[in-house]
Amino acid sequence: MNIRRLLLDVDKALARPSLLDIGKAISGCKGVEALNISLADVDVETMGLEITIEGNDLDYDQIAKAIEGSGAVVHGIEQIVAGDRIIERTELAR
Amino acid sequence: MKFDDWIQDPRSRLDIVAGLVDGILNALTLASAKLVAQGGLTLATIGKVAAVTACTTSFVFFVAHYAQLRSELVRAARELNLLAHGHLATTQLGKQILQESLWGALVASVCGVIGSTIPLGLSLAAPSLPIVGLALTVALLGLLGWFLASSVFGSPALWAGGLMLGGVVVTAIGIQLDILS
Repeated sequence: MNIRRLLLDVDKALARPSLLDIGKAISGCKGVEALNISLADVDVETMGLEITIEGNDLDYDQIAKAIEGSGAVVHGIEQIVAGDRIIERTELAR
Repeated sequence: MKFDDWIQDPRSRLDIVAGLVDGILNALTLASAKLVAQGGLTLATIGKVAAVTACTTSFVFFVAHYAQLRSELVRAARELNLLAHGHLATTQLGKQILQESLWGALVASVCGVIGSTIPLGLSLAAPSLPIVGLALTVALLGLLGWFLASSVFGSPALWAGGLMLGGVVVTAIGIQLDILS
């Protein structure tokens, strides 16, 4: 499966690692062309991040290992886009 | 990190000032008897005191920094609901805190050596006026206490006074013990 986009729910402690450290760790993974790290929520000692990664033939295991190696924690996958091209989410009309 | 940023970082300031204070107190404890005995101080004595200061300061600061940073990682692991509390120490953060602790210990150790050389150097420069050297050293402790207070957001007068008093006490103890005789 050719994964082209991943949206991950990631948590980290407030003090460290820095967003730059996480970004550098992800950038070093195979197939990563671009990434976006956005602050989702801040707790007393932790902060939640939404990380969007786009590229070609992304290796989720390698990316999750890189994020956890930097000292953050992957809580889950929020979105996967795969295939020959990227398709955006289509809202159900009910 | 640039030098300006590094020197303004409260943690760096704490290592620098606490290292200097530790060095001065070490010198006063070990060699104040030599300071007041005219002609008792030699370059070899200054070297010995500097070596002892470098060893003790680096060891104490490394252990203190590392223990504090490791406990921060354990607390963070608990907050992140990680099952293994030592998990974060096995990540890049473990290497990062080890490097930070080693760097902090090195900075404090170098500052400790400088701090121990100041009072002894002053007395070596003016061997006939040992009291002046001691008075200047105690005054320097007061100045460092003032800076230390700004790092820990304490009362400058209290910190300066406390360190000067500590300087006088360890000088008296050092004269009494006469360790290097």
